[in-house]
Amino acid sequence: MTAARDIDRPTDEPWGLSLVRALVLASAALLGAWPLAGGAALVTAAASAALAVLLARLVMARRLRAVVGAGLGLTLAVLALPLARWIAESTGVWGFLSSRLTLVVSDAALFGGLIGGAVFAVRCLAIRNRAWSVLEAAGVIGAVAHLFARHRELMINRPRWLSDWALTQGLDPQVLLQALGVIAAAAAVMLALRRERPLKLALTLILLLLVGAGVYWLLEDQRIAVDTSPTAGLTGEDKDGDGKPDDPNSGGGGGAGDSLGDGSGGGNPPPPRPVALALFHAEHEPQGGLYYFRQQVLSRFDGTRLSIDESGQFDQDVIRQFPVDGPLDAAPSHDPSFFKRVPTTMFLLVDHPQPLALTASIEVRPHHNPAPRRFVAAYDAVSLALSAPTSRLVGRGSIPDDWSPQKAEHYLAHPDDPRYAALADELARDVDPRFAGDPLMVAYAIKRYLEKEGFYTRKERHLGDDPTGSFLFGSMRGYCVHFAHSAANLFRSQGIAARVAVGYAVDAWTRGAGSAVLILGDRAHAWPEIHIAGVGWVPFDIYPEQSDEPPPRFVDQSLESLLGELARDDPTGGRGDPDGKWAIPWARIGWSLVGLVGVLILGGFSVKLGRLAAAAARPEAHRLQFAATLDRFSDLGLGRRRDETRERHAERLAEWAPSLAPLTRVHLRMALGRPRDDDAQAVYDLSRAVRREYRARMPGWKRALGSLNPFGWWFTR
Amino acid sequence: MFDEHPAPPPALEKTPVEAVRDLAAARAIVERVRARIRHDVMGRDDVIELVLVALFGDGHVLLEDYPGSGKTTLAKALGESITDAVHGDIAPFRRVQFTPDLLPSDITGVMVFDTTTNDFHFRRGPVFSHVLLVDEINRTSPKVQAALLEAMAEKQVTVDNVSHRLDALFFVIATQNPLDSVGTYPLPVAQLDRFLFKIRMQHVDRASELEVLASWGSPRQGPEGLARVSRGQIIAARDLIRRQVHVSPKVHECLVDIAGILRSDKRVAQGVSTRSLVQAIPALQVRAMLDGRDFVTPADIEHLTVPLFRHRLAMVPGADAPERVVRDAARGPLDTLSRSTISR
Repeated sequence: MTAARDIDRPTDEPWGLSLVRALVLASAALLGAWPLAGGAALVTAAASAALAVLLARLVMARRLRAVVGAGLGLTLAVLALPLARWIAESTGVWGFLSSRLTLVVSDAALFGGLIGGAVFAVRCLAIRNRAWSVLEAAGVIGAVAHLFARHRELMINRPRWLSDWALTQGLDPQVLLQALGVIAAAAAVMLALRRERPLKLALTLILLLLVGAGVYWLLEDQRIAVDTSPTAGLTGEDKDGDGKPDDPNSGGGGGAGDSLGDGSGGGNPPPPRPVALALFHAEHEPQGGLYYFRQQVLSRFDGTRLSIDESGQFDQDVIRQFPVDGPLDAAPSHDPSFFKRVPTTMFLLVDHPQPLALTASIEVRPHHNPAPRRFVAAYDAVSLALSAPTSRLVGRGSIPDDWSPQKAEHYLAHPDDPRYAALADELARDVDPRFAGDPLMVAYAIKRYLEKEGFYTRKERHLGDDPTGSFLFGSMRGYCVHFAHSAANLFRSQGIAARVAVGYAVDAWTRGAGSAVLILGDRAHAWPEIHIAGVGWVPFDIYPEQSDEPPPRFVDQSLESLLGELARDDPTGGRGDPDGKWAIPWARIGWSLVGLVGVLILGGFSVKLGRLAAAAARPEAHRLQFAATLDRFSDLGLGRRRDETRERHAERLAEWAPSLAPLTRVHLRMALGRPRDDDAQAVYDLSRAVRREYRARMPGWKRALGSLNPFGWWFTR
Repeated sequence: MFDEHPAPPPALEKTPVEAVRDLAAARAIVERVRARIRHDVMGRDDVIELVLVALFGDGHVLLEDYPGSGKTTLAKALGESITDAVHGDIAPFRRVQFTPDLLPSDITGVMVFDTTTNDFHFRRGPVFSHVLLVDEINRTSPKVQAALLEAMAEKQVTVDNVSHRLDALFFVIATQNPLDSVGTYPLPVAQLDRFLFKIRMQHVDRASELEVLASWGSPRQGPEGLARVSRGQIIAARDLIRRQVHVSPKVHECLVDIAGILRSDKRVAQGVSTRSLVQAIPALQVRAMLDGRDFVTPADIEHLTVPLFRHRLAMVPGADAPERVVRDAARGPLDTLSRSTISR
């Protein structure tokens, strides 16, 4: 041991320098983890970095191979994440500790393992070869730079917690930041020092202190007068609006909603924000020039207005769930001969409580989301669009015979106000006598009345107990919700089953070419639907002739086609393999790699044990004996080097196995010379002697480490 | 007992070497010569070993050294350690200083007219000796060099169409100065190929140089106390080593592989000859014997490749030093040879 300890051993650096190094790296770990970790994790990170520095010094002084040390450190760093996850998710630990403590321990394990392992690995390498210190220096500077990352792009006042503090102290933040940079760089350079004389080390430290003091003196000189009162706007609050804007439409994809009375839709129009994208699988032109994308229906009359039926007994033709595992079907209530099937794929850009689809959707299926960061949901929908001419709808009743009285009552309930029936009766009288009493014709008469007399405006609010009445029997100025509710109540008073649908109505002429239709938030709409016996629910929208609304703007067609391209990013057109061509199966690759490594390790151990067994089984085979003996040293990285003869190799290992030299000589005579009769026995005896010496002289932990190495035999040459 | 590791060299004076019966006896003879030379030449153990390998491997050496570094002392000590009771007319040691005006007959010998017998008879030149020291071999004309090289290669000289055999022990130590090359006739590769080794000597280390100075002037015991060896013993030992030290076919393969790599190396204009491989075998045998073995191992090849091959290469201009090229070439075949001992 002493013979091999030459004067220039890198672990001979003064302990003082090691301590400084530990301090610097611990500070860097603290700074690096600062934005990410909590208190306990920060302490663990700093402590593990310092510990790793000292531990690396100790083990390298005991002549651990640098590669082994680096491997151990990296293994610890890599295992930290699964370990932390296991702690956080294991019910046993949860039961043992409290939930809060479990999270603290998991965090501490993650940061401690990650940082400690990485520092240990780099330190082991750096002790052998100073060039690796560059990594340490980079880590320190990176940790500091990361902390001040917000200071980029001329944001000279960032980070505010520092600059605000500096300004309240009357310091110029820029100089302070420069001083911090100088100190970080100097600390990083210190890491590359090694085996410096104490005088030089002390001088370096004094120089560092002088730099700090100099900067402080400079700052003293540059103090500026500032108003430090709390009203000076230096409270650290973010006032330049870089926070998330309070978007009135964010998460408001519910369209017009069911708010009738408070008139929330009557305020300023929301900015037209894209809320969803529909991809048509086939060309489809809507009958009325409008695409109706329905999300919810309001059918339950609660005494004041219509609301969503929560009982589950009605509106079963509306799909209320998002498809997750498989297709969802609506209860059949339409006669397909009146409708055209329109398959579409919907991509939602903001959250919606219920699936949005072209009315009336009868089936939804999950669809691969091609851009999860852009689309919050994606699904296929099949909708039934009315295709029969109006003439075929005439002459039918509204309530079919198979409806229960309860169901009929549900769809006919309306305010207990005689004015509805009176108005509707009056309007019904104007119907052509040939069609007197026909629900559709009566509905048309009501529709015509509302369209002619109503005035569409978002500026009018109708409050009170009966907003619909306030609108219908008052100014008749209101917006879609008022028209839809008025119409539904009038229909119901005439025995026509009606409800209000909520969603978006998109003018066909505002869309661009291509199969994509972009739905903007300002297209939110509510419209009545009536039921025609034998046909089903049919949208029956009111289009007021008078309006103060500007016409709808064209959709930004480049955005529409861009999102369409994004949605279609699927070689099978959204119909086949859910894994797109860019979807790299990381999980499969990862498990394959794990499996491969496992197989390799198993194979390595098999060969290793096989060689031992073969040597034990055939004592006369001198090559097997010799190779099995050398395997022990190869396990510890002490195999013969390529440019080394067997004799010199044996000489190098004489410290641990003096008998290896005579063994090598006899082995070489058997292989290259004229073997003698007793040579095979000599090889066997000497092999055993070498193994005995190996056991006696090699430290136990090294032997244990060697027995765990599955590939040592590979390096026996 | 031969081939025990580590085997101490046999006691020189006590070992009877009347006849060379086994390798231990052969080794005793070599050690005796070595002891006599070491007595006179200090701090040159590596050179002495190579010279001995060449002597017992039946080759010649070329020393590249600075003036005054002990070449003559070495050669003289070697010559004086050999006795020859049989051939009294052959000098054990001769030295020739090569100059540009030297003639071939100055070294081979000349026909002289004897007036008493009215006949020509041959007067032997300095090549008729056991050990011949040729100083500054590159200072003489190519024809003298050629005459010497014939003597070295074929152990005979031809004068007036009559061939005269040289002694079987004939051993040449030639020297040349590596720096002072003005007005010289550098030996071409073909002629260098005749030398078994080219030994590049370095200055002796500080301790040995101090020892040399300390011993100067003080009466020093001469080598007379150390036994000499006879010419017959050396020749018998040569023969025994050649017969008894085993050379595995794998060693042959290794040598041929090294030669092949050297020949195909881009840095080498002309590779080594087959003759060099033939000469290498006895040298390897002697080296193995000196290490107490009766078989050649990769260690012997590693030890001797550089002095064996470096002077036989013609390098392309601007290439690396030949030592490095030889070492690079030997690495692969040596590793293969070492591997072959366990991989079958």
